[in-house]
Amino acid sequence: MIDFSQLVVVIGKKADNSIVTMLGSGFFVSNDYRIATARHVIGNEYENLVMLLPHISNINQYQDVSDNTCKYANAKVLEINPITDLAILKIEQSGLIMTPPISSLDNIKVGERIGIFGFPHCVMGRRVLTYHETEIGAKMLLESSGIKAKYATLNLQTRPGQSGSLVFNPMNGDILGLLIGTYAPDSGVNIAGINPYELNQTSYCISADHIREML
Amino acid sequence: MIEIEKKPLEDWYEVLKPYQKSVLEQLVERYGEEKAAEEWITAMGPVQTATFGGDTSNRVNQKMYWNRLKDEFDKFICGHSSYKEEQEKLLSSGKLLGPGVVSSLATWIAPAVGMPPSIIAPALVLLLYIAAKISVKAYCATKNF
Repeated sequence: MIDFSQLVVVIGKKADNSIVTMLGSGFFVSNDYRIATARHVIGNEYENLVMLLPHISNINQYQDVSDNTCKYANAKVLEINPITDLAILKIEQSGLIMTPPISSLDNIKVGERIGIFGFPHCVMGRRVLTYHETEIGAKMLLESSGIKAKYATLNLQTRPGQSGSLVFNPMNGDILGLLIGTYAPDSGVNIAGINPYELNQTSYCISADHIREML
Repeated sequence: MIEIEKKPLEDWYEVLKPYQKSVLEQLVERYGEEKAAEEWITAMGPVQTATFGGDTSNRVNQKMYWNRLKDEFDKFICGHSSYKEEQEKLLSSGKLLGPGVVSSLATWIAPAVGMPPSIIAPALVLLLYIAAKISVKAYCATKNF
């Protein structure tokens, strides 16, 4: 398995007292430290955004969930596409970082395996970088304001905190897309903050083409 | 009073990134200029999609941001005192406002709107074009502060 533990990060918001609230996942997409995430992860925030620096040196390390300390870097919003729900952030760091090629859902077939790295439940204060593997269930065009973009259905249930996760090709490490959410029409019912329609066993991923066009 | 250059929309698009231009062209074709600007500001990704993280803003809240953007834009263009310093800076150059002002204008009004300049800028392109098309004087004649 390819270890993306140094490239997949938590996006957070810093309060005046330096307490950081975790908002979701993101990952580096360029060697000058630009980060892709879902726009809804940052909402309309732009002055107090931070990226939490990796808390482990490799994915096989035990992650101490009682450790609520973190190191962070201030993140600036460079680009937002509200139609595709994507955002590009940047942190200031010296040197360069190696990032995998940005590919596309065009380059993987339905039924083929994909890997996902993200932080499920980080919005509830739990920071555990987690790896999932599943397959592409379908390719779709989804619409926002009448404009269509390329997405895939992943045969996996995901939970809050995973928006912005890296979706990649485990065969070569190429970036295929970014996890956005799941199909869930309004049910009119809310149980502990969950719309029961969200509990289907699939998730949506937007094609990395839409990230590339913003860089 | 501030005056804005009358230019074709294609010229205004030149200050945008290719992906922003592509989206705005499609929105304008479908909705017209003003509604396209509103769609850009209020859009929240694909429909019927539950999102897993981050801000809990919904479309109702985004509409509030659109209203704020319109208010701040009108104040700026129509000479409201809250932007006196910035207006004087622009007027002292003696030039008509053109596409080059979009970035600065987005930065100036972003704090009052509560959104990043990078999302405001494409909407400003359309709003500036609209105001220029009917002339600033006519545009501001209906505004009350």
